Amino acid sequence: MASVLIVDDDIFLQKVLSRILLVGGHTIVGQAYDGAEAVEIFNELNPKPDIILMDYRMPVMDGASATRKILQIDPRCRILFISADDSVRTDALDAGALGFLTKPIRSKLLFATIREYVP
Amino acid sequence: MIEHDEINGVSETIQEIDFDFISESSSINEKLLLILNRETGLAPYSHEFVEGFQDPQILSGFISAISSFMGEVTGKNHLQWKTVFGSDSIMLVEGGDWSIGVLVASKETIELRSKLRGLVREFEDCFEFLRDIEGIQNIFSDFDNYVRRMFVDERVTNRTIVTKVPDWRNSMSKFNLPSISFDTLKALLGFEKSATVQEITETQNIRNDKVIEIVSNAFWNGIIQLTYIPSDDDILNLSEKASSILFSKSNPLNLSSSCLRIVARFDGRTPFSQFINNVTIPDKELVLRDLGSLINSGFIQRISVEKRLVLFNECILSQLISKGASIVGSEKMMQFFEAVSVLGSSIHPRVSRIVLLENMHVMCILEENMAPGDLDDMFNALEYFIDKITKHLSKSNGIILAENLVERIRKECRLNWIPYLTDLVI
Repeated sequence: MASVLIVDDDIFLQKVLSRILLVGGHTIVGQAYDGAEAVEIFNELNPKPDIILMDYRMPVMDGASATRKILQIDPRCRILFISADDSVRTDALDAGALGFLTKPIRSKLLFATIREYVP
Repeated sequence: MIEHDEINGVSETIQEIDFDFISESSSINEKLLLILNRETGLAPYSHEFVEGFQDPQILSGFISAISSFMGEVTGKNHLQWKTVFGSDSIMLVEGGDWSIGVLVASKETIELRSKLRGLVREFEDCFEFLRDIEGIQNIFSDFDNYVRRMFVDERVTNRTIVTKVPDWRNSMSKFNLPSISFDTLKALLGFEKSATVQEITETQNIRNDKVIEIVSNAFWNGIIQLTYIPSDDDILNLSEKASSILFSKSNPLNLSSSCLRIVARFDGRTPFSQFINNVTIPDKELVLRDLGSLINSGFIQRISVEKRLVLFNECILSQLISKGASIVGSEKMMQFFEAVSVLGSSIHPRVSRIVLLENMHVMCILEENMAPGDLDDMFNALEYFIDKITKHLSKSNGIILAENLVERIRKECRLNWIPYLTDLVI
């Protein structure tokens, strides 16, 4: 089971995601509402999360910029994007994300993807 | 200054607006989706689930005018949601920061509300740049894809029955990409009139996920009709006011007695498998089809993800009380329960909806029409209750025992509930 940092400016989605992940046996180690906060929380976390679920469009700092900064801190960090906008997939993967899921997603796909990245 | 009576009068008038111009021409519950810009009143995005249902721009102007007026009357900047009842249609309204989502449907379901709320959030997130731009419309092909998946994908399972509409070949021109058109044609030519998704996958030798995508797209474009067949992991409930029609003496929907007997047991808590697998039903296939049609048309609804999460937490608290009672004794546990309930009700008013049953189990009193936000509050109230009961147990029997007990119970409830949370669309 994975330790997860959720980064999303949508408070409702954060709630649903974190609760579903908890039921799936995962641990939520942090929640950030924009990219800058994600970088800050990631810096403070020890141990680092097994995986980060990252939104793309967020205020202050977007998901791709946050991904680049986090990977500078820890190049081994696994980042999975979740976005409704498929047109940003390339940008997210270019920034160094391991994967990209297009919303809406089925919870079983989310669980399977986390399992794949965090064996 | 507007008097209170006048406000009530206006409200009643709005509720009485007759939506007869919207004809009920399909078995599908959803009719029309609009997303309006609050400032301009224009509908930058719209989708007709039922073709020729109503001109979205006329309806959007009407909704925008009412919303603006109601906003002035109530003094609220942020429209939460409200329902306008018509003769045979309702409007679900969900306000965002700068947009308003409106879904016209035959029946109100919690599931629809939940989806509409998600759509408005996602729309505002993706199209923030439209907030101050007037008049831009119909540039949302990616968003259209998102809406389709949100509304349709949950309905397309291996059991789902696909039925071609009479003039389906003529509708194929709606597909812009030849590749989609070819795949759809190949899949649909493989059967006469109806087939399940599973049958199409097996007979056409097309990957299952591809069949699901083809079927979803074809339905969105009006080429096929779908009959959802409930899965074992569904948790079903009657929609608001459905009971008076379903159980009417005249049986207007012509449901079989087997179907009625199963529907009568839906309580929004018990998994469907317990109704369908534990009893002998002679006409099971027919009953499943009828139940699917009732779900399609909104008489029956699958409970929302928010409610499933509430039931999951209810399971944890219930077991904590029950197993805790076997450690500290029922009387002491009842005292703990009472203390948390009294104190908690002032912090989380929904704590007062958590009741202790005679068998030392716990049940949340959940109203049928609770909105997703209400269910979020209920979830938090249960979390609060679990935390406080654990603290009482820690004080009386030691922190290690209490925390181990909660951990074990959480694990058990996770195992019980995971099947009911894995196939949800979020």
